Amino acid sequence: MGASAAAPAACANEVRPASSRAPLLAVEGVRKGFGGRTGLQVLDDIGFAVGEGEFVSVVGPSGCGKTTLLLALSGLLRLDAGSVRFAGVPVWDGTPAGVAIVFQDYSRSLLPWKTNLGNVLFGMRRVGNRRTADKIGQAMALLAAVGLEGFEKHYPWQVSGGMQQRVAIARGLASRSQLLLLDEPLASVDAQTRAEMQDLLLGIAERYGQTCLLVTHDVEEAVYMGDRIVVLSARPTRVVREIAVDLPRPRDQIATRESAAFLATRHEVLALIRNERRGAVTERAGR
Amino acid sequence: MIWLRRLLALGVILAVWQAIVWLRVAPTAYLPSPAVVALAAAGMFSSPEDMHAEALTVLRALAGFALTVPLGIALGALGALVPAFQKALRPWTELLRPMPPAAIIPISVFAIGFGLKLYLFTIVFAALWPVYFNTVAAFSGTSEVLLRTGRAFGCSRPALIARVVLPNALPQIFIGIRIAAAISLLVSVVTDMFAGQDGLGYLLFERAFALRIPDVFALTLLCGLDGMAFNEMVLILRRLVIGWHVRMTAEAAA
Repeated sequence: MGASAAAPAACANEVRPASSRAPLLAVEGVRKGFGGRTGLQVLDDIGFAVGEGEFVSVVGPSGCGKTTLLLALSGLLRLDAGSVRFAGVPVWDGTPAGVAIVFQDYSRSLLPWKTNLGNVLFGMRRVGNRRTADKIGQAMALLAAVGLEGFEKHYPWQVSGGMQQRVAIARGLASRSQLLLLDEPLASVDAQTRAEMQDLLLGIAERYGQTCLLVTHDVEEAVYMGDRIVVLSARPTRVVREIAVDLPRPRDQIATRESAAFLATRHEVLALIRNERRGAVTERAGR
Repeated sequence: MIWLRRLLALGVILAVWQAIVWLRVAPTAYLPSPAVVALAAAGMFSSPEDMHAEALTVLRALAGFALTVPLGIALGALGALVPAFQKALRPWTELLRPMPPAAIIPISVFAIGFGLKLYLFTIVFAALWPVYFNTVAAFSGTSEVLLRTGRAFGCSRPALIARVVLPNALPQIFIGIRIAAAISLLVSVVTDMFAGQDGLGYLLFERAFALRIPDVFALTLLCGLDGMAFNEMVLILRRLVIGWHVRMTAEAAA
């Protein structure tokens, strides 16, 4: 695409982050394939940016490599081409200290030999220069913030799936990260818990001024949570469009979801994704 | 409740035993009654010679076990983390692992002589494998999600091994440790029998050749008690080291 050479005017349909400073996370021309020459091209030229304090949703058709993208952004996967910069510094091998991840598979990503408190403390590994007592106090406060007061001494396997997810979120917040990456964090909880957790996440993001990147397959969730939506194509994955979400905060599960702006945005994203899915099917049939 | 059931099982065994004696299935000289064996056991427990043998066998087994566990874990970790090491070791493990421990005792005597070092060698030789293989399997089987989690929260490679891979592997390693404890005692007794000048195994053979049948029964009983004690020791160790896993499996079963 040669995005770096093109004048800003050439990207008129792209929405720029509100901040005029360099973005917190800048993704450019990221490509990633698996399995050598005959293999699968998963990511094919991904580029977008996340500004400080933003809540960005990334949504795409199923199987479009959302998790691969998230691993690439967090430095847990070598890129074939392109660059990921966090706070101006290239992310290469390993997750930068300012980035925390809440994994999709939260139940298996919590350490079963540690208590909930121990798991949150594990999230503070890179927070230096503080006494253990202070760290424990902060971890307790975080657990309370996600509604787990009184469950600090419990082990993850002693609490429900929804509570495990809260522990994982508290652990993600514990590293005092500048950027929180959320990989389909609510994919496996029931609908009511899901709505509750969405509001919990939004509340926390607001309270801590937390920059968030949410990867999800749920279009409504993407619209409800985000300031901006990055819509991905089917595999090989590109960015189809970036859409600004023009909805007031704080969001409300009933009023926001019934508002005309919500429905219009939802319509736009759903149409894009349906197009992508059809395109993918036609392409497969044509082979 | 569980003790009541155990007591009941013991009672049934004793009753059947006594019944067999009364029915004269075997000559009384070769199958003494429970009462006669109890008397021999009382004599055994008050005999300094017998208790000395008991202490020797148990302590040698413990020493071998204490050497086997860290060695097995270290080699297993090396095997899992350095594929070349495991590959280089494989012909040896394939050759040595199926060897019956008793079969190596004669050449071990030629190679290293008698005494504690012989016991350490034969025990480690036999008990190492379950610890080694379980460690390799557990280390290699660490889930990708856990590894990513560790790396995402800033673990370097050594920290990843110490803080994620090892604690995650311990439950499976303990399966090997439990087997190693049983093997340690077994090989200690067998080494007594074939190459010892003392210990429970030696005493057992001595009394058996002298046809002191009640004594043989009593010593056999003592070996069984030692085996139970070793198993109990591993269970306590397991509760201390991976209490979380003991509780997790208990709560999953409930």
